[in-house]
Amino acid sequence: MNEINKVHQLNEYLKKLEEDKLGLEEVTDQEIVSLLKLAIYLKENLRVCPSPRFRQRIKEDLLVAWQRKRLNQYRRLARIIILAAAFFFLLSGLAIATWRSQPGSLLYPLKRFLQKADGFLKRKSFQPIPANRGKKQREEMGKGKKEQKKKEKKKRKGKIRKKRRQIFPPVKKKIQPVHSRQRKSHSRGNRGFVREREGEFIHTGTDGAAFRTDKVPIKTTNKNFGLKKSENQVTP
Amino acid sequence: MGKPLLPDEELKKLAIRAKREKKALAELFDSLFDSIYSFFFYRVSKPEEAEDLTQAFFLKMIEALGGYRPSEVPFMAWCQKIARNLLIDHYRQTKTFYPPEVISQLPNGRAQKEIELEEKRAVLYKALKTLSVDYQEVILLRFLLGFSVKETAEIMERSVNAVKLLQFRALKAMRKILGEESE
Repeated sequence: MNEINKVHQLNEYLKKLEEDKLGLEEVTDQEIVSLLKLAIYLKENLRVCPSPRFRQRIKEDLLVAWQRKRLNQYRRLARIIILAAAFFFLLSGLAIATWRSQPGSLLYPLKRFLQKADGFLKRKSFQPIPANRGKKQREEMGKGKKEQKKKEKKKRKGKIRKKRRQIFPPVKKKIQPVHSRQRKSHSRGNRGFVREREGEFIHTGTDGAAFRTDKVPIKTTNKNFGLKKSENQVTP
Repeated sequence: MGKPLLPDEELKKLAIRAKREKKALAELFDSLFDSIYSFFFYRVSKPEEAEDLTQAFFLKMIEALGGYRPSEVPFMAWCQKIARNLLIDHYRQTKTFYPPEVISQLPNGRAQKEIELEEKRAVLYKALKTLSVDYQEVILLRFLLGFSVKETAEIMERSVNAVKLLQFRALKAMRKILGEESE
């Protein structure tokens, strides 16, 4: 039997010995038997007992050390609690003093800083942005701007007109002569004038050039071209 | 004579209770003391050194007990780590290995049986001291502290097969030394 097999066999027998399932008579190999006997001998005799006095001394030392350690743990805990409480009171006192501080006091800049920071944090821009919000906002803003621009333009124009009126008060329109009136041109469809001269009615365009003469006066219309009724009458 | 080593589950429960209860700590001490002392006794050259190391071990154990969380690893393996670290520190400081002085330490006026037992231990001590460090460790872990092969492998940071082989060779070497002495 080679060494490796013996190693495994010895281990198996030792396992059985620990479980009290093996008698040495069952083992045939003499070398393994002698090794098993040595193992049993070692198990029985290896344990050393120190003097009882030494045991007692070590035990007392151990218990004292344990108590000291527990005490230190409590002390450490108490220290942490005290420090935490002191820190809390200090911090709350400082907070109250800051809140009540007036301009000129040492803590006032801190109060201002905190107020600014608070305002900064409460800004709407920090709120979560919904989907498409930017686009809508931009559109709304664009509309608003256009309308505002229009309004501003109107205002500006109105002001200018007012000023102009102040500087150059409106002159009353010259009343058209009784014999002259506006009417639609028959031939061109443009506005023209009819003037009476020496019993003839001369039809002129807007440029004043005559293009026709009639001896019969033209029919008057119901339209009043901004003139009084009496003024609108054409004298024959 | 101290109390025998308790099963692992009970040791774990005691260790958790020992964080708060003084009584549990005393029980844990009673159960561990002989095994730990014996382990140090065979690994150092003088009994006084073993006593110092035992004391240091229990003080360290109290400190480390606060962070102890029970796991699959046996409680004795956790203790063994502390003991091994202490031993390494001790070897670094002393750098010397004295011949055993166990027989000279025997107190007078003891019963014949006790004296015979002490003599046996002295012989064992001498035999163990002549073995290599690995052989010593595997014998102490397996037959003094009662670790399984798997646990011993974890503590020694070796494979299971390597520990089996070490155990076989250590026993063989021990038998040879003891046989020579008896002759």
